[in-house]
Amino acid sequence: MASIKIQDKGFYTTIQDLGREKYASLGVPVSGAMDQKALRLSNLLLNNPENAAALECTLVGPVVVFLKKIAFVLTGAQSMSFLDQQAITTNQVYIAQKGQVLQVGKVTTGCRVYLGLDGGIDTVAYLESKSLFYPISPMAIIKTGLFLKTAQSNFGEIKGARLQSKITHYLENSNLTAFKGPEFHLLSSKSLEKLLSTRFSIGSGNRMGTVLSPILEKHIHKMLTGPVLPGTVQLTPSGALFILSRDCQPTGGYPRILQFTEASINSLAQKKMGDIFQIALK
Amino acid sequence: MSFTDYRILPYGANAILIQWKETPSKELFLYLNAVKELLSNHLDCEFVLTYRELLLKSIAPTKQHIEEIERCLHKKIEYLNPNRSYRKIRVPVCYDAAFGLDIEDLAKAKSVSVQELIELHTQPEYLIYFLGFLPGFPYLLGLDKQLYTPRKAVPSREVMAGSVAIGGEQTGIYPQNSPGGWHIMGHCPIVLFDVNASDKTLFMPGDIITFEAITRQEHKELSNMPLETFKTSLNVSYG
Repeated sequence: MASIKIQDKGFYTTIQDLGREKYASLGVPVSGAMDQKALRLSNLLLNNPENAAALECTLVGPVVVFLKKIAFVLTGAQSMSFLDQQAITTNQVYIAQKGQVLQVGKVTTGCRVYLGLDGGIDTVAYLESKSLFYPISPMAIIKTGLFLKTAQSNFGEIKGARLQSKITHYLENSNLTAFKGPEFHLLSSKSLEKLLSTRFSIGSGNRMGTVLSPILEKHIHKMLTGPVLPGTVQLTPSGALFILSRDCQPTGGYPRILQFTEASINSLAQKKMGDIFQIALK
Repeated sequence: MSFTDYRILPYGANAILIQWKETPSKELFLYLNAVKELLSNHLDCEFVLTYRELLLKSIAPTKQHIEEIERCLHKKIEYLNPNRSYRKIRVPVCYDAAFGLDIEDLAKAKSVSVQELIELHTQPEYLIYFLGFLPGFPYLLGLDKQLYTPRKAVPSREVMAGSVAIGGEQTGIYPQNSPGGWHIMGHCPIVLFDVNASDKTLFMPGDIITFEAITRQEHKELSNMPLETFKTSLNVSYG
């Protein structure tokens, strides 16, 4: 029996766990929650398995009807969300009754909200992961009218982690850290200086990657296609910086000048278009 | 032959990259696969192999791990004879201009006829070096130098799944619809990636493929042939 029904799918809502490792050699992206810190926190609070799947909601979340009594939590971005008329705060577990309606509203701080459900969302795993990525999964986002099941609950009064702090600081972190990438040495001295002194702004992007502005110097360095990872920063010939995200392809042909730390990748997942940040080298 | 010109470097906090200087070749491909095999016996991680790089994922670039890699690379690494037999796949491609959207422009740019262009593309045996870019997308070695063509300045918004294309010094087939900057030569009617099939993809690294020109009628007859059906047909052989 289903646990929730999607009454409205929201702006861009997907199902994500920690992703599919081990399939890069077939050309398959890792995928998984953009903000893995938020997904892990959601699973901790609900006493779910670490890799349990949740709904990843972008900018404006879905409207969800509960079909049975179930515990849920919102983690990641802060949002204007309501359970019937009651305002919901992030990182706190609530018990929804059968028939109640959760509206995951517009984000106020951050970009992506995770709706975790007691037991975790139980959908078909494709290549060992429930993360949606077309064409590995038959769809990329959830649809209005979809019914979703949850797996066996492990939640109870004495189960589930209790938080000592709010864990929201990283949402607004504007000092991000990156390691030197394999082609870091290709940066001209002018580009390097600009890289470390510029306040970059998030341009258009999606789960595959995000372009930054302003751009650095043009370059003519060519490289053979090689492996890339989520969090890799590529320098395109036009001088644009392109940050690869969780759905990025496993190989790429542009110089890999930086590799963001895992903490910075999670902070980046919470940035909206126009948000500003600086890069420090690790 | 041994490939000793390499460097090992950390790639973030949870990956290690090994880069070789050599030009990609059948021999280097076999050597890299033997290295991967050897390392997998010593280290617990995931491997991503490309033209001349090997990425070790989910492994911290600690001194201990890097020394372990060094020790392995200093061993004499046995790899297969490049003249061994390969699994061979004849890939049907319709080069008709209805599918090969850029074939006429490309022929003009190279000052050859469309027929000559098709011959240059269907003649070589291509080695599948690795898969990347899209699920099941094969990176091939063996494109005729005359067909090297810089990528389009403005990529096409949507290249149809099955399109066979040339970009830079490479040729390949798009298993899914995708934006792409390569020049479209023709179309292969076979489903190339199927998450529900046992092997997922028709192409595996180490296979040899050739492109076989087919007519529009033959293309129609083969249209959307499932991967499994194609594999059991006569197009896959060993030798």
